[in-house]
Amino acid sequence: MKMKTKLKSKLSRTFSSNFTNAYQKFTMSHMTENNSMPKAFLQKPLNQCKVALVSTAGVHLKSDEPFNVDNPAGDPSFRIIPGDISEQELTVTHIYFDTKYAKTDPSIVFPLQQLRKSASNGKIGSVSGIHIGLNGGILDTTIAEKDFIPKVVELFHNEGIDAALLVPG
Amino acid sequence: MLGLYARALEASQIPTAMVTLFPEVTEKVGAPRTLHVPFKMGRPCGEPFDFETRTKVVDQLLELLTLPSGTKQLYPDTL
Repeated sequence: MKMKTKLKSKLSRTFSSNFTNAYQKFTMSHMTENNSMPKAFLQKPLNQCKVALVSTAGVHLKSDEPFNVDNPAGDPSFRIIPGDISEQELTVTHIYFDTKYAKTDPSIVFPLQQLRKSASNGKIGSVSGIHIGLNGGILDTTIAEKDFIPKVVELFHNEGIDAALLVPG
Repeated sequence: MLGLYARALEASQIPTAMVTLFPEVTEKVGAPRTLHVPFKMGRPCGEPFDFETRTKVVDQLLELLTLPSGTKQLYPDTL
């Protein structure tokens, strides 16, 4: 991480933790309002569903290339996280929140072990073989919408994923 | 951006349930099912090693999947 990025990270974290409302307004000022709401419903009972996680906390495998946080526009790409990994194989790359907590216990941003528990006690059918790690804090979402989001949707259909839990950073 | 993923998955018939720290943001983007949690940024499922809270968050998210698109809930579920 470049020195400039480190400084930007520190400033942003100070701003968002001290002026949370202003931070929320800033984020909202860059968003398009959607008035319609897509409506899906579970195609089978929850206890037969295959469930995947999607995180924008910058979660990825230690062996994967980290998200490019030095790019001022952000990094809209995604990382695939296999469902059978151990938490020791995970790390977090993000500049808009303090990652030290998530590095100590990745389940605070990526509750895979809790999802496994839900599968073992029969609440859901199974844990997906793939999950998605993203890096949030992207203001211009054009590339994500054109390129990466459709790829993830296709991937989920190919994997037979029935439902997704989404967790921010 | 996460809300856009929620919308795209939902539009392709995969239901989603999403944790939100900023309900006004997720409302504006139109995320289909949200769970508003009282935690800090970077800790969307609670504090490190508080696995009891984490399990409750995941359980409530899973319940939320069974409810109609447009449902907004608060954590903890006081019902």
